[in-house]
Amino acid sequence: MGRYTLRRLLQLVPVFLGTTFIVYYLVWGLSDDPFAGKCGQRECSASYVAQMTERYNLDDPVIVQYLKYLGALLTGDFGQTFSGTEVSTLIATAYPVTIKLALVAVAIEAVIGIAAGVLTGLRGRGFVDNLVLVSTLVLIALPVFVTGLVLRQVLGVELGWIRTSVPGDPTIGQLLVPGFVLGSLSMAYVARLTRTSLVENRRADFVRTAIAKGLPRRRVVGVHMLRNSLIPVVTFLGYDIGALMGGAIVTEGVFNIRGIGGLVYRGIEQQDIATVVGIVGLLVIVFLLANLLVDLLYAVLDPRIRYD
Amino acid sequence: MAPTDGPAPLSACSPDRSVSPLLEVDDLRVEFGQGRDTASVLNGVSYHVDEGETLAVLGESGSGKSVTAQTVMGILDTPPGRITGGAVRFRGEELLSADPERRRLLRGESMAMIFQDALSALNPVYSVGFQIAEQFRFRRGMSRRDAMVRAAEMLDLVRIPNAKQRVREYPHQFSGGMRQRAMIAMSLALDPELLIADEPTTALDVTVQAQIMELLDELRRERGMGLILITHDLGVVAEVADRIAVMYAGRIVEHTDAASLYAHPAHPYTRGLMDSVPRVDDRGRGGAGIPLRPIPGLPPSLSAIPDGCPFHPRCAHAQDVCTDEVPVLRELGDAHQAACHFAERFVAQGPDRPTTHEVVSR
Repeated sequence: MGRYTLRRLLQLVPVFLGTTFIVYYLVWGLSDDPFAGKCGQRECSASYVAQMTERYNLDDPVIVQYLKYLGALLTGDFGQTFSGTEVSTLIATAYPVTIKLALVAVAIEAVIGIAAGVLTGLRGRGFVDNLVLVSTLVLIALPVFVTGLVLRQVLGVELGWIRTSVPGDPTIGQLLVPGFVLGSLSMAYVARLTRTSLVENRRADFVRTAIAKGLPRRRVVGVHMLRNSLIPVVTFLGYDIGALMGGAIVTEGVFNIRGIGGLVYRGIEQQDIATVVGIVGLLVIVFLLANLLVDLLYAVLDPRIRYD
Repeated sequence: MAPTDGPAPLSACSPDRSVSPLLEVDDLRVEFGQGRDTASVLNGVSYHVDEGETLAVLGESGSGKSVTAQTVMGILDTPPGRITGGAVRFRGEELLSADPERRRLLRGESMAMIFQDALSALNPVYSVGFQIAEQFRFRRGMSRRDAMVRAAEMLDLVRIPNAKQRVREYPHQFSGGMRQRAMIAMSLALDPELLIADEPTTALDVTVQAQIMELLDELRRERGMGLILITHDLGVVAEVADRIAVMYAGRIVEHTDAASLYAHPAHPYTRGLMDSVPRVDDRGRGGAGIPLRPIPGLPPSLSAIPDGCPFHPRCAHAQDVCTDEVPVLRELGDAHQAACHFAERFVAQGPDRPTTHEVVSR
């Protein structure tokens, strides 16, 4: 497992270089005039252009620019936005909010999704089963911005239970509804995955063996059925954490959450190279690490999986 | 080969025996499905097993061997299965009407079961030792550690080398034969009085098959267990069975001690099974061997069992009476029972090929 982990960590290097270069090239190299629209209606002043050209090494070929940027990045310097704010400061304020939101979303997914899946998977056909199947179908069919806007309107505006705009440093409680919106799609998948997996395992040979051994019913279900059924669910949740750590542009937008998703969105809109490349590079690393963790966790959960 | 160590063969279910047998299955009926698709899987199966004795239940896939065993164990999936009649008595105690908790306590403790495919019958995510130890922990109240020690002893009992290390390994790390041994160890953990082995050697190669059968036979003898051996393999049966019950379409069609069955098969189906075993002494013309002689046709669909004798469409000796009247399992004398209108004639004939028994039992 150690060698496998090392190999996977080494694979991060080329992936990181590749993604950051592509993003860098797309943002800088593709536009003819990086200063178009930067100074409002007027053309930018020569001194401003000279200053920015100096700061971002715009006179060099793109590859050299990129290498210089990379060099700074490796010493921990994320660079500055056009307006002179340190990108690292932006990330430091936005990322904790995103992480909090992602964790709230995954927690909601896991608790509600697994509970609904277990309930329907064990009971089999019936009212609860149909209720869960229909409601998950609705959640899967609805785009996230619809779920978000409806909940904001109903809970925030009509009922006044929540604030329509989440403050800068939100508490867990203030993130519950946005977290639900963000996690709703995956929650529906988790419920269905759990249910299918349980139904499959309910008639598995090893469950019959456990019954034939005369074990108590609770033990048969809790230990022999659930453990095996939850392996794919846990894997799914792990990948989802990785994805949600990348921010949620729509949900953040609806609830006015100042997270990493909105930051990237504004960065792209304003062609703010340092913001976009810095954050995307970070997100790629986070996502890859999350994937690696899930793969390692998978081997822990299922002894048949062996790396090396 | 006649058994020498088991008790004398008894008739299938003579009602006036003073001591009740270890297990008695009486006119068991099971259906699957609903309405027009209802499949009559068991149509009145009766057999019994005594302490220390081996009953072989022989038949093709779908003849109801396993369903009978699952009903006895109380692990039949209901639905889709449905028990529509009959009784299962363990030491005289009627089980089908017993409460589920009572039945659970009997499982493992009084009766245990070995399944065909040990790889899927063992839980892949727990170690073999953990799965054996579970019974000591949850049925005997042992600590986790003590239970693991006992689990290692059980592995040792079924002659798994290095039991102390292997107890921590997972099913996929065991070879096929070792897995089946582990399965046997698990079934014996609570020292059951009756062991049901559902095709225990089907998934194994021939040399390992023999080892597993030997092990089972030895353990049965040492512990005085009753053993129900479910199989479709005549070769496996010949060596270890005291009595043999042949099943077809959810009925027992012939029942007798092993020696009589091979010497005087009374049912054409039994004769067909014996004929379809390939033999080394069939030289044929020019030593090229003769073609195999399978039973023609297929077993009937259980949702449309033919009228009369269920075997008549495949039977070379079928007469008019066979299509009209269901032959009952009847006594032919000498504790030999068969459900064929012409059983006496076949018994008198002996087997089609006189050496079948010797060849089959090596």
